[in-house]
Amino acid sequence: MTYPSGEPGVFESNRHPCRVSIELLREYVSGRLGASAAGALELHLIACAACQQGVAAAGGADANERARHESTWARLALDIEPAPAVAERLAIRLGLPPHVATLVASAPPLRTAWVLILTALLGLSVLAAYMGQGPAGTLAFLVLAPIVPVIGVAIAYGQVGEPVGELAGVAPYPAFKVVLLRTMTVVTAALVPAIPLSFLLPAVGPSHLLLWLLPAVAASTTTLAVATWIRPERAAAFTMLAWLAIAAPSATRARFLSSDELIARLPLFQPAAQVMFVTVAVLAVIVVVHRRALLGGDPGLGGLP
Amino acid sequence: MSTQIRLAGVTKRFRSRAALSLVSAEIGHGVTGVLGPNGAGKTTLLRLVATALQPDTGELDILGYDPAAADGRLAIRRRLGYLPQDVGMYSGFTVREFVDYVAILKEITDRNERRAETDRVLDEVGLGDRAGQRIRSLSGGMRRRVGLAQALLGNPALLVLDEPTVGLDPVLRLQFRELVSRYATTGTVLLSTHLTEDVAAFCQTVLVIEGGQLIFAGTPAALTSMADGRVWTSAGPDAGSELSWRGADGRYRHIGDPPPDAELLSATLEDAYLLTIRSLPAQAVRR
Amino acid sequence: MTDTITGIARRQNSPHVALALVETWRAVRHPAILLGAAVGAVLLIGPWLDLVEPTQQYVNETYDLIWVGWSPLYLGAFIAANMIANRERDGTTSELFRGMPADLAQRTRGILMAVAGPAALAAILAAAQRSLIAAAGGFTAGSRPNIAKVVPTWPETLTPAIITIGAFVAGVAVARTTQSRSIAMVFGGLFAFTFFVGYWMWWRFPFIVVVPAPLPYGYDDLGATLEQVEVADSALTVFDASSTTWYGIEPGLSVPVAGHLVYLAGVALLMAAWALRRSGAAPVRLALSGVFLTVIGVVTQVVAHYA
Repeated sequence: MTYPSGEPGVFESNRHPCRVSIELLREYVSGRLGASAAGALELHLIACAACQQGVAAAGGADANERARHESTWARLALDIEPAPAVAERLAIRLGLPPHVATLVASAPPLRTAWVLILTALLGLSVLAAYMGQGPAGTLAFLVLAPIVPVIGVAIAYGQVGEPVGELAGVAPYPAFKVVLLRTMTVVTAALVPAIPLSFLLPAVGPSHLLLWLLPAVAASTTTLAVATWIRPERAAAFTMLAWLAIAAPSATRARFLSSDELIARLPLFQPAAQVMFVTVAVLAVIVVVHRRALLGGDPGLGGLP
Repeated sequence: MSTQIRLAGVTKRFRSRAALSLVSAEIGHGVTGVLGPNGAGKTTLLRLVATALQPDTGELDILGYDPAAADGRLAIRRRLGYLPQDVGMYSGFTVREFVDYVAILKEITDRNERRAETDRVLDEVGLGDRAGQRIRSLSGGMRRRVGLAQALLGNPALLVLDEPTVGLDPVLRLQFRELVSRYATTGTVLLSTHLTEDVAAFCQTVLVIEGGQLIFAGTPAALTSMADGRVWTSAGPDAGSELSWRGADGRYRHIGDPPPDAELLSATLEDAYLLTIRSLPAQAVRR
Repeated sequence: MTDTITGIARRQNSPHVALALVETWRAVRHPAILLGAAVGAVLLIGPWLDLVEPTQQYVNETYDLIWVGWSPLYLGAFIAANMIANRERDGTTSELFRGMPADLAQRTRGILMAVAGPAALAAILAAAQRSLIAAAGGFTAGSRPNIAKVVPTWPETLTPAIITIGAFVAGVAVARTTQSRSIAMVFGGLFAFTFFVGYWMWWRFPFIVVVPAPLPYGYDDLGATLEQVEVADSALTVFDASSTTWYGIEPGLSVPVAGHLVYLAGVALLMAAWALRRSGAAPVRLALSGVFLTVIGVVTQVVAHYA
């Protein structure tokens, strides 16, 4: 197969070893290729230097861009570590195509160690609540639980050479879908163990579940919303610091209150605050839906096609 | 020619992929160009010579020192100027601050001597009047010159430059060639490129690497002669030749056996290079 | 243009001092540190500028917050150190510097020594704070009927400098553990919130021995009943909502406070050793010194508690 000539200087080779045509590459670049076909092509692209050039050429890239494309594909081939089998199988069972499942499941917080660490942090707070530290344990849980999923997001995307970030730079494949799925998976994985733990708190009963669940939802959606402007791990760090800043006055005042008084009197746990959290969450969801194509994209590229 | 760098049977693997396989070469004074497509192993070879990597097998001798030993590495690094492919610099630093910092790392501890040396290298690359400018405000070509400046600190006996001319316009590339040629009169320069015109212009020796293997080592003239008698031009494409493409003037250039109604052309280094690396199949990546 | 190319090393000295000087100069001007110092100064020095003791919202508020109030500076030191140590990343100069005679351990050592700058800044600010307090006649500690006017001693005034050293070294240690600045911020923010905003949560034995923000004063357990308390002659306090006993405050550099500062210094040395180990060195002496100081500090505090 040959690349059709037409433009001066376009390189032709009669000895192209693979059977991929330029039309297929053009469809891939413009995003019209279906998910599984795109995935199969990407696996091929990791190995085939000629097709990498073709992708870059089909996207109208110049020599420097092509070089960058090739080195990124090469790095991806080396850097993508095998995902934990359980998480990946679960992801496939939920209907994700295999290559997306790999990327989604390769998030570090889905590894056993991280799930245990983050759960342990919450468990410690529960313990502290019973060990007579005053309101400290309850306060710690109510402040920590909303940001455990956000911390998970930071860890998921903060590693150097993170494959999704690299992918967003070279593949027209909708990386925002991967970011969305992966983030939601991490958030869910972080929140699921927190719910039973919260029932164990002395002053917090089932009716008080919303005290931390609503802020958690607000924090997670805000992280996603901010991630349409900056990188996901930075969005997570920003959201977490913002939440801690909001919680700081309550933490200072909590010193001379008991656990029950904590929930009854601090502004952070009043119905008005809960309404605000819901509002923030709704606004964040609107932002995410509206700007979803920019999720996880390289801000320098101005988003994905 | 006295050998400055000697490689014998050097292999370097990354996970399951061999970036370099059993490469043996001897490099002497002057400018040696390493030519090859992306992913061929050029960067790996340069990193090995710059002591940024250790080989898995084989022997390396650089300026008479063995980089496998810690004191050998230190001795090499004291005589080395290295410019890797993508140098991200500290964007908040000024040009002078960055080069000064590198000068400290090169053990130029006396402050006055450092200042003099920083001024010298910045003048050499033509950035003397921009010394106070922040790196984030520089263009790509200027950043590359800062990178070159830091490599020149301390007058190294060995310069290792990875794709130094990428992103430079022809005028800058000419200045770069002049600068490097001056250093190469008494020192050794090893540079990698995928631009054949760089090699043709000022390299005394050329190594061609493809797929991790050294497939040619010799002078540029010797490489060019491999395409003698095999370069043709005609009006239309040809399915039978090794390579065929349409040039800017609308005529087709072929390398290989002559198609009908073709005229013979004199071969260039690029033709010989393309001929040499033409048909190696894509390397399968084993996961 | 040079006539001769020698290619021989000009200096065989290690560049420690030159590196340390350059890094110190950059560190002390880092915006995170300057901002933290400014916020801390507003909180802790501002109210004293008229040489009148500011009113306290609750008993011992001034004494409790006297060094914790510099938390913005500590956080700033952590952030600055992390950013400085993370300058060299895969996307920047880590490949370039592989070819340098000064290896990663030496570069890290240079950054670690730059702690002198922020530490000196903290010491100067604390000295200013202490001088103003002294000029105003001290602050009130304890609750009626037993109160005292307290001026911190000079050794106590070293506390902010030592905590700043710890925060700075921690920033470097985290940078040598992960290159992600976002993760470092997450860790730093969480740590700062837990142990500095929530400082009071840990002011119970045994936590009080090991947490970064020390209780600024020594204390005596006086018992739960008011009659016992009435005969006490030291300033009184309770700690928090769940306290069931009264405590007598011992102002001045008490043994537990000194022990805690020694402990903090030990932990700083251990973190520095960790950072250097992650940079390819084997800092055995540094690690051992760290262990020694940490143990001495902990033992001192524990013994003082039970004595």
